Amino acid sequence: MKKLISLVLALVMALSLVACSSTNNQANNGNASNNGGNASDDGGDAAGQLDTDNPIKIGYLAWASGADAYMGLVAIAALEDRIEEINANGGLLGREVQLIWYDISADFSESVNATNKLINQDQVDAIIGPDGSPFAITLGSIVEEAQVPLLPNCGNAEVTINDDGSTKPYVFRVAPQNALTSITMAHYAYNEMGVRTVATLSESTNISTVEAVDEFVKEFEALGGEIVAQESYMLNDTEFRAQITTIAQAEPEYVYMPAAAYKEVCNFAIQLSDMGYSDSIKILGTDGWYNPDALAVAGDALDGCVVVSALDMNSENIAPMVEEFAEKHADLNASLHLYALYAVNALQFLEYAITTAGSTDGPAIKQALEETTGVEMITGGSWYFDEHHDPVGPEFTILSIEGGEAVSLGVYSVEQ
Amino acid sequence: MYQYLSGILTIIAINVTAVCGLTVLTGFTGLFSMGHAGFMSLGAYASVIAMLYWHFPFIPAMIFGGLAAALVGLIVGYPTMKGKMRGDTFAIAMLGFSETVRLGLSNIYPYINGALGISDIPRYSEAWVVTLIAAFCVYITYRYTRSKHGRIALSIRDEETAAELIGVNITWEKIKSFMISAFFCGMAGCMYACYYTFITPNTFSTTTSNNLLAAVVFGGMGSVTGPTIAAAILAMLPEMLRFVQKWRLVLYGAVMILVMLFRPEGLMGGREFSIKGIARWFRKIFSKLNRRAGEVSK
Amino acid sequence: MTVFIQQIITGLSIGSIYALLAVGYALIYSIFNFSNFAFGVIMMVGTFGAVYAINWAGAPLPIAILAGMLVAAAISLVVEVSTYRPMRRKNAPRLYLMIAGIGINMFIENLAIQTLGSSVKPFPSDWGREILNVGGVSIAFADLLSGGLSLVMLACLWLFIYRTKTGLGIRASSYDVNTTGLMGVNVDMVSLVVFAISGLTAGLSGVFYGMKYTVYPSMGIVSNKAFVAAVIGGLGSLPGAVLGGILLGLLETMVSAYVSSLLRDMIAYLVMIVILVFIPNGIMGKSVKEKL
Repeated sequence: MKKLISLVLALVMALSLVACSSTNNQANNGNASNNGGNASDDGGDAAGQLDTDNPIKIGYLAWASGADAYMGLVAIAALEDRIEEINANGGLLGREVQLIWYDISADFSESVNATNKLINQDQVDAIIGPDGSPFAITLGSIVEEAQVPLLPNCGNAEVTINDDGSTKPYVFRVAPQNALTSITMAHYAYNEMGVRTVATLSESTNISTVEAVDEFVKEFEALGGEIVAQESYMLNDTEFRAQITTIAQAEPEYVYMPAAAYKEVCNFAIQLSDMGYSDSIKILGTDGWYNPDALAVAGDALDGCVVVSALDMNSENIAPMVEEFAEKHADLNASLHLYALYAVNALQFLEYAITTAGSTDGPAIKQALEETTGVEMITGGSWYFDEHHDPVGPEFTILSIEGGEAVSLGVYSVEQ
Repeated sequence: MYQYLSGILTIIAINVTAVCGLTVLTGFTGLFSMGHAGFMSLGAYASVIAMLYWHFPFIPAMIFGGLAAALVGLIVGYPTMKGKMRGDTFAIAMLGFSETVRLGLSNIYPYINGALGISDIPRYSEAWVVTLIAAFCVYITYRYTRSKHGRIALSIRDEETAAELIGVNITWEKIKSFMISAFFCGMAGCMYACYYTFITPNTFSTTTSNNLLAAVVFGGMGSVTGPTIAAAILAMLPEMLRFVQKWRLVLYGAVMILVMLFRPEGLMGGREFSIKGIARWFRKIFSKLNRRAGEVSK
Repeated sequence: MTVFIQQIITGLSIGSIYALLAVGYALIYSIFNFSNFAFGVIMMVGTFGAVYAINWAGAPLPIAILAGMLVAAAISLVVEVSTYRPMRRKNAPRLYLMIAGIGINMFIENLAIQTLGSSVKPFPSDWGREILNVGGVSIAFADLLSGGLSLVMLACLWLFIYRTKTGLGIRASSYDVNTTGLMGVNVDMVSLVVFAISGLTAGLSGVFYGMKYTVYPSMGIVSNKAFVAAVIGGLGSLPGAVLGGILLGLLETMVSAYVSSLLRDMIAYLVMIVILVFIPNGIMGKSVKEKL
């Protein structure tokens, strides 16, 4: 029996090795056509003739398993909803739109493998994501060679810029740069809130939080403010009381914490309030972690916290989307978050570019994206790309958290 | 099609190279480590510095990376082996070592840019080049384990006291195995850096270390070809499981459990892969099946 | 001075969680001589058991803690019966059991992520976060309770292992499983008891961890620290595990407070390596010959 099972196991392994590429191909096609099939069922009646044989394929690099799986799973659901809508309205150029997503969370090299797979095997017309900078930085040359536009929703400068300062031709960022977010926060804190002493807290090996803190410190000190303490924590940390005690001794008014995930901020805020510092020290945050779920977890511990975000979750455009999403995707146990909205905006850029260019040709889409002077986003505002392929149009909203609710204090931009 | 498959082949070759080193350490010397990602990291950084600042070509830079890792292996290995660390203690000490490397690298800003990482590394890791290198590494490892050194290592794994009694310098032999494993992991780290073109101290994580260890165990202790095959399978398993979409890592874990349950001695269980062996194995299975079929028909 | 005491309290508080987890680790190690890497998910499942007992069944806190412990014990038994026992029957070396443990960890954690969602939940009871203020130093109730319960748990374990007949069987099988079986001890029963107890401690520490911080499917990663603590204290030694846990907690906090939070883990691990170089069997470990 044992031998038999091991023989079967070995055979299955061997077969899947031999048929590695072909099975994958079939499986994916099957999967994609399933998704598409559903969508076209809905759309078939409305639009009449939707070209389902020759679909427009959009790839998405998702962070869909592991500790922060909600990042990708929510974005996938949001993108699929949007694509369903597009197909119900007759698709793009009369063709059906399909989303093909791959998980990239198991290892660093996965973003390269998944991109190669999307380009080579699925022959996608454009790729959205990934939402993490270390996974996006390396993709510039791959998509350039294949002439497939990539629209990552992450914030590091190097995602769109090469070391020599040139712009990566096929990469278009759809989220604000870390530096811009930090600078805006520094200016708002110094000029509008009158804050003079700030401590910083970053995740020691996380590229995004380290960059964000560096930029904040530079800008805030240039403005004349004082950074009284710089503390950090490790990946997967939940215990912050040692840092809090040190920070409290330095007596800052605020702590700038651009965390990559909201659980760290929740734990930090809860411990801050437990130790009795919640009245004297508050958090300055970024959209890197701002998520409606954070407020639910931390409760009133986050009160008084000020967050800078490129999208206003309370706006008349977005608030209904969040509610609708919560109703439709209750099984995900996670709210619609900013990074999913950035991905949806990327999809809108692609809709615009494909319709304008009249083709799904990589260079044509790229040209349309470069030449656009503004695409109306369902999240509000009109966005376009500057010469470095960074988005222009996202307006930083300042949110203040009061009584467990985020209240918008209005739009703020740094005067140049 | 070509890039995707060659990308997977590259990842396989990188994994195989790293596992070659661990085979000597774990499969033959009997020490297991949960932190060899630290050596991959060191090798990657050393070779990238050599390439970007001293303009080394790919192969010399790779060897430089391996040597740098082996040197650190000597420095770390001497006290740990001298202190007679083994088993879980050694594994945990190595885990500590890799965390130390990760945090150390992310706080050094000149040259290596700290936590922000080095980008724009030339993409030297062509599939055929790294495959050749990996094949060469497997061959070297195979010859090494079949030599006097391999036998000495085996004697330490099986009966440490007896080996010491017959005059084996246990500390030195362990350090030697350790340095070899560090060397191969350093080379693999360089290949990885030249494939991914961007490295941060986080690139090589505890998961990397665990996967390397799992490959050696899956392949079978005391075999070279077994871990090679297992490393290849483990490297492409996540890609092969893509058809289950978000359930991929669930299935990956399940496969790990099942293999351990049904092949607790590993894929090759100390034997080596050979055509003759395969033929013998099939004959055995079929004769058993025939006999069982006969019993059923009776 | 207050600050220093506060940091000590913080260190003890983290340390007590590490200690409780490390006891469960060390218990299995002392009998079966392998590291149970599925420990993290056992703890996580237990915590979720307690959370759902409150959220769905409206159980009061003590009942929820008990439910969490029982759920963790049950999953620990499932792991033992389905994986570890068949592997031990086949005389699999302990390294193989560890790899199987890593597989179980991955399987259950990702299953939980995909079915329950990866988002963070607050523990549905604020009781553990109540703060006691003594002369400017704040101590959480959960800390006092987890510290106290670790001691009680340890005392019970000691009594059980050294003062009962089953305990005698457990100790006997830790020396030689086969001979113990021949002497008429039901070895399978012994292993079930050991895994159940280990699951109970995992569930208890998970609930306290969840109460102090938050609950999410990947929370089991903290058990790595418990493994480190168990090694520092001496693998297989229960008092050693407690000592190791508390030392690790104190070390981390002190480095973070007085050296640098940036280099915390680096310095903590370096200190650990230096300790292990000089005493490779850990602080209270016995010198045993290990084989792969």
